[in-house]
Amino acid sequence: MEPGGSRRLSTAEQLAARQAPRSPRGQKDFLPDGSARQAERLRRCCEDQWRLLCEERPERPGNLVKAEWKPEQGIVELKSPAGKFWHTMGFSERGKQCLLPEEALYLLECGSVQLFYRDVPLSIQEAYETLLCQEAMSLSHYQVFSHLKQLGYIVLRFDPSTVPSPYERQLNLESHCKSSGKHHRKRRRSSSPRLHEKKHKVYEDLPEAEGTSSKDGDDYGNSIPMDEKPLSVQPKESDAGSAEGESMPVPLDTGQKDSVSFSSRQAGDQKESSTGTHAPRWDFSTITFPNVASDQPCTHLPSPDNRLLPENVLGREVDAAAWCTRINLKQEKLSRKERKQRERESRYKSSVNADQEVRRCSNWHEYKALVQQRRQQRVWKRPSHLWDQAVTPLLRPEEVTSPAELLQQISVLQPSHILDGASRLQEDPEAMKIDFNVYQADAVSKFKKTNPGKPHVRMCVRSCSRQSKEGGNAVLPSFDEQIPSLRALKQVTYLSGDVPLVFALVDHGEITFYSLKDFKLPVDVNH
Amino acid sequence: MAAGPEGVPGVCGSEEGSETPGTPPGSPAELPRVRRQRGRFLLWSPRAARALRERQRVWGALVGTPQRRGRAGAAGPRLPLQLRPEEARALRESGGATVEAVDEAEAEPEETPAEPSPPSERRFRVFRELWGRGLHLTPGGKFGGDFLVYPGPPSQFHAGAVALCPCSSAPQPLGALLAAARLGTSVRKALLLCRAPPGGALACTALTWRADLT
Repeated sequence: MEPGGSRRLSTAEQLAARQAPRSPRGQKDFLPDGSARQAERLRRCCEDQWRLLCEERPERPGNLVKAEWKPEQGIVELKSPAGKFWHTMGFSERGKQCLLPEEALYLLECGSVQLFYRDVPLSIQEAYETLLCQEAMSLSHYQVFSHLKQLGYIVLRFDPSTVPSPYERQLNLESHCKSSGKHHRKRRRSSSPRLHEKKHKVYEDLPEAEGTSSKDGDDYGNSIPMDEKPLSVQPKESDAGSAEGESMPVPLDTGQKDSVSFSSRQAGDQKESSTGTHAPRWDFSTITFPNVASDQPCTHLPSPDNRLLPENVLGREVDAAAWCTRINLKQEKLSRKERKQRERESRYKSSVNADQEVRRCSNWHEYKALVQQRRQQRVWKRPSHLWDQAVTPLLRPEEVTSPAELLQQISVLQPSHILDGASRLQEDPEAMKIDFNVYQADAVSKFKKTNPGKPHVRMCVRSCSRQSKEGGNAVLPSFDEQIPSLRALKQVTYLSGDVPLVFALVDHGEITFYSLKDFKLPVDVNH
Repeated sequence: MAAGPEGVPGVCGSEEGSETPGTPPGSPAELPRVRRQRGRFLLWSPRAARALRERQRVWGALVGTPQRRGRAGAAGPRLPLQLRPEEARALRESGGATVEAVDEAEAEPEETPAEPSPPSERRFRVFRELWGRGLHLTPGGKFGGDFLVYPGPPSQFHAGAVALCPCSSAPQPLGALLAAARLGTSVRKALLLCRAPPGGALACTALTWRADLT
């Protein structure tokens, strides 16, 4: 059917229409001065604007896709095959190609489709007045949609069921297939064995875990692993998996022989008969430290116990005497910087070997006994003027070991994230709704409608809307309304998952975008 | 004609048929028709839009989608022309345009809301006063105000002032006033605090940041 008896533009007219119209030139004035020059500029401005308003929309009738508005379903059904726009817009339903009302209206304005209703072509005005009647797609929504489309973004309606839950995100499930079978050719090999491993570790008995830890390789490069083993199960979790948003215990640093680990280990020793599951395989009273330092060199190292060595590794005894004569031949010369640093450190750092009592220990067992003994002996005198009052200090000196820890302990306000407690706020019918998923323009070539992936941002349209009188609430115009409450923000941010949220404020044709950014105050810690 | 912005394509039904550029606006007997739907006001006729802008100093906003994306900047925005509620109401009350409801089911516009003086009411009264004095007004959202006030057509002149219509009965935090004044100064426009009480005259106070004294 011929598009409504339109007059076909001649080639010359089409060429002219394609050229950009002139925009008002020159600087703007500040005040009217009644001059002829101003009057002339004004007249020319008006003519240009008038030409703009009247500009015809040239169409290529052969390219027009025909579509029909179906009010009972609220969608537009294509009657002729879709064009290039099908790559990013539209959907299939019962074998037919369909468009959402906003998509159809946009394409109509662009001149790519022709809309019919009851076999009569709709004008743009009629389309505006007919298609934008849904609550989900008002004029404001359409204006935001159109604005983003003009910028080149791909805009789809938001569907809450497609947002993965935090648990699913933690399991990295979004990279796997959700419902469509097409996706699992992209399975990431690294994640599923990890998943398996994690479960393996959590539910195993600890002695077995000790056995497997060596299989995992030297994550920490530990030279003396036995202390870390019972505790290392948990830190390895955070290392191996993608535990997003969950607070995991900090992995122990092997380099730092924390007193904490020793005392707990010792407790483990004493309790081993009672618990039964923590039986250590090491007998500390028989394990000696060979001291190969220069003052009392132990040069003879006996052959290690074969039971403790892996299968194809041979141990042998060593006499290091020959080597001892070849090392430490020169006096160590420190640079000035190094000397200064040593001086500074000597004020608060001291070598554990400088302690005579420590040197008297010949094995780990004795050393631990010494530490325990010292701990029990230490009587910390609490200053009465501080501790015997109604108001006492927040911390004891031994509770913190660094300025950062100190700040952490005494801070009244803990840093919070917008999503804290957000999961409990759901199920609120008054909550703000997310309207669109927005995908980046440069991803158009790789974009797949059936699997769009994670959007660039999600859009929440706010506008003044006056519902029908029966519907109730007349919301105040957008610039007058308050910034959404924290509760509302938490709800809607949670709804958005891990995709940033942007608010589009529509004020009678003017659109303003804003978003809230997470910000963390820097902590001033001089370490 | 090709699918025009108003009416059925090809049929020059109403008197506002398409015209070639250069023809002066038609007889004053034809009033621009503003279509109201769900609290929004749209105008579809090119001639009516021109008349509103050139002869009635009501500018609105052109919100239509440009036809070809690549030419969006060059082609400029298109019809429909969207009017703000205060513009539509001022036109209706002064007889400059007719406002018709798109859906007959929609009740008559309740222009007097329950609250005595909500922001929209205050804005409307100030708009009517300033507009009535021959000034050109456009939305001031970009500058944190209610209106931009122009001595002449916005395409030809710089805005002279940013107008704010604060609530006169409630105390204003000084910080907000300072922020507004500072904003006005940084964009070289005066800041006007306006008030147009129902029975009284328009009162404006200009706020200037004294950069020369800091």
